[in-house]
Amino acid sequence: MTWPRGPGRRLWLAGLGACLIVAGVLSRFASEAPDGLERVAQDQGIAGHAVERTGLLSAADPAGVLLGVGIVLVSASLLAWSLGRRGTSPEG
Amino acid sequence: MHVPDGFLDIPTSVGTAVVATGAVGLALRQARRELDDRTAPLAGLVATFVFAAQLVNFPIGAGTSGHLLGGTLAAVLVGPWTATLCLTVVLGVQALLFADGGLTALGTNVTLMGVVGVWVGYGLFRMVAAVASRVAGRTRAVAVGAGLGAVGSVVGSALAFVGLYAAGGATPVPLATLAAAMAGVHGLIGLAEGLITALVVSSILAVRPDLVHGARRYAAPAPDIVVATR
Repeated sequence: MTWPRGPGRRLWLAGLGACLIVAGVLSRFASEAPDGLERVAQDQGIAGHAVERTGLLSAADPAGVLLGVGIVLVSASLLAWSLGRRGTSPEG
Repeated sequence: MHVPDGFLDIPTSVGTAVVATGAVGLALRQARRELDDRTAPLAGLVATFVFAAQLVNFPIGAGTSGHLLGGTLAAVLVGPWTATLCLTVVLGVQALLFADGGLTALGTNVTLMGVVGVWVGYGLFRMVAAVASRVAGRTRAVAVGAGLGAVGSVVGSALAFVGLYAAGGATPVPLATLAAAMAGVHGLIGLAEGLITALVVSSILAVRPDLVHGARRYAAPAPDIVVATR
């Protein structure tokens, strides 16, 4: 992966900005209501079978969100870069 | 939509883990064709956007919320194989670090959102865009296809969960009722998914149509020719 240059760089930076706004700002206004599956599970009497876990990071914590965004960005970019590089050159 | 541990029994979870592993293994090979120096950075960004958007639950009424699943959006932007990988990274980080979705249910969630969501959405997108491109320009055809594909993909994932629940659910429930409830709620969530997907796809099409995987097969709009008629 060449670091996005030229016209693509602007789109990449704008996209990253959009991700940070969505994760950092919009997520504060997220609905606390159960999501579709949780709601249906409650109504159908399945919800009690869910095993509750506590994560290392919390989506309620801004630092956790930022770390999550960074981890996804780096791991997905590295994966895509390594596959893209191999895709454009002969094996080996 | 993230399935927690405990909803599905172990044999069913093992089954979905096998399906997910197979799909991801295949995607690792096929995605190379979709990825190059220009599109790889976009793929990283798409995964990040899906992760960010999944933090934003929007209310759909009756004390229920939903969030973007993102499979169709990712498939139209970077290609379906790469989309499966993007969703797998997102779901993996959510399950391992945020306890969002179960650990034994990771294969289930990858199957539902990274395989069914991606491919139902991409399949519908291709069909709708092919028809729409005969009567509308590229931007509209691709955006409408992506939007309708996204609606279908959410309902498809919801019904796939019902299928898995029928195979190995924690406790017996009337399956027709479960299917109706899942399809109804996720039809509403799907409408929002469709709107967001169409909006994001059309805004990227407006600036860099060459980077939108799903738009490549359609001809670029002809440059406007101003003809003086008088």
